[in-house]
Amino acid sequence: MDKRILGKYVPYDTVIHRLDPRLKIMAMIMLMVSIFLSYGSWTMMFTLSGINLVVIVALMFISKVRIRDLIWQLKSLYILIILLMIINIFLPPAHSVHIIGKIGNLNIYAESFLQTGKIIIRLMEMLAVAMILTSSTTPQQLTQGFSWFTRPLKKIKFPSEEIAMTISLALRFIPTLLEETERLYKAQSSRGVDFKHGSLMMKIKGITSLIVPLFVASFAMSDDLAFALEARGYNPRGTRTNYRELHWSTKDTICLILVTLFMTGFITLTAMKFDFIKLIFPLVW
Amino acid sequence: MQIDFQHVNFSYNLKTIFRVDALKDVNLAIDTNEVTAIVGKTGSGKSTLTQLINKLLTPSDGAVKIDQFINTPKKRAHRKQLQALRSEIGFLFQFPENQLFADTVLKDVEFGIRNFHPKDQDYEKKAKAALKLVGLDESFYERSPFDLSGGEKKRVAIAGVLAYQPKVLILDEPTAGLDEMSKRELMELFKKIHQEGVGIILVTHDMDIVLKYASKVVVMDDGEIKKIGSPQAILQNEVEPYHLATPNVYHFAHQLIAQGKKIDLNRVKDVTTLVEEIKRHG
Repeated sequence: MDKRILGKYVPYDTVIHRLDPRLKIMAMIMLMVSIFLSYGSWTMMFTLSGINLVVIVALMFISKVRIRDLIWQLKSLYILIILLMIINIFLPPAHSVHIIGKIGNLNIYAESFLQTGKIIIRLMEMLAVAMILTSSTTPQQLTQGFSWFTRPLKKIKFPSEEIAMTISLALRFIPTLLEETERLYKAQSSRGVDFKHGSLMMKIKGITSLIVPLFVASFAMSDDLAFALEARGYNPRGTRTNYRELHWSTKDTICLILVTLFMTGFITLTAMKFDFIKLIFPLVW
Repeated sequence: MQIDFQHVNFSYNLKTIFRVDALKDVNLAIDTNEVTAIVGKTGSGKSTLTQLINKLLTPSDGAVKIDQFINTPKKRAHRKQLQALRSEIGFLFQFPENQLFADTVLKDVEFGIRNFHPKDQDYEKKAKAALKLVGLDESFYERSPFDLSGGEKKRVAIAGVLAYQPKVLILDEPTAGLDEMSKRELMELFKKIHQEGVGIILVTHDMDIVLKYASKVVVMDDGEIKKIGSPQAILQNEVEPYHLATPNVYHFAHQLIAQGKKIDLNRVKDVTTLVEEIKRHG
């Protein structure tokens, strides 16, 4: 079985790993905003996307996220890509002008392919940003960061700590469930289930033989967990302290300023309708 | 059936920073005519070793020969070969009751036969015979496996493996979580199955069971084989370094020897043989 899980935390010791999770969450949101800000004419859009891509790839290098994993993910998205292609060919984007071919009465526009490319690039950039965040931040830190943001909402009785607890419990169960799945996968394979080959009927039956015991096991596990929590006196309404407190340092402030500058610059470029390619090759387009 | 491990290395998550070397240059020959027990502390590589036998895992380096079949990273196995191998080697996982899923007991037991031998028309008969063998009667056939008690579930799971009549049974801690009575019943069942010609490879922490039922013991530690020999020869020596316990019957025999009784430990397997041994020396 391929154990590569997209965006799983990898314990390296890089600058990005050491940053405060709150900063990383804010930075992720800002980067995602800039990914969606890249619009305008095609050349402009791809220029802006390109700038984003350079920044993201640089961040991936710093945080030691493997670019190979991201490209590998692209392979599993092929159905989506084909679907997008078909939709964009039959429903070309508005103001399409460049006809490159014809199927019967249907005009095929170059813009259809550009549009597909645009969506895929955005999707990959978003995935990459999310990957940088999750592979450089432990789930515990992430939950702690998120619950810090929801803390002001406690005044209006928003159950911020309960939600943080639920999230951290859910996250804690992911590896356990994966382990259980692998154990069941092996057990059912040795009983003759062929997950890779075999007819569709066989595969469906094979998956049933995984899912049913997995559900039974997870209910049993959550029951045990609830009892264990109660036995140790867990009170959902109580205020809790954290073993590791979040610590905001100068480094984080600098990074926050940098990211904010980047996003502001990006907004300015978009507002100015900055078109790099048109600037250099005015004749080509 | 002959199983040969030749210079087998196995690492989990090879080529990543999570790499764990589970087996290091393991050489081992298992003759399934005898009951082989694989013992060692948790994390010593016992389960990995057994999972290489029916190619649930493929070695990182080296080869495991199982009769005609060779499990090695250099050669890809055909689907048919793999299914044939797995139908000959029954694998009973630890807590097998967790793998039940069908809506009735009978269907769950039939599952393996129908996977391995889709053309076999006698599956129902074989499933019923397997259920009878583990001591579950007709009243269980149409019940849901999830309504049964823990011990009954375990029996259903064992029947599910026995039903497709494997030539070798790999038992991964079969007695874990069972009471003494059920343990004994279960081991007697496996003994009976072995006498009918099914090879048994047993992974366990229970040295009393090893002494009583096994004819060969493989002691593992840290991914390496430390000792191979008869259970008497191994368990008479100090076993604590490998996190194993001296069997209770040996503790008792040692006390008797200390009081001056003459006992040949090589003849002692359990309480009955100990009593015989005491009688023999008068």
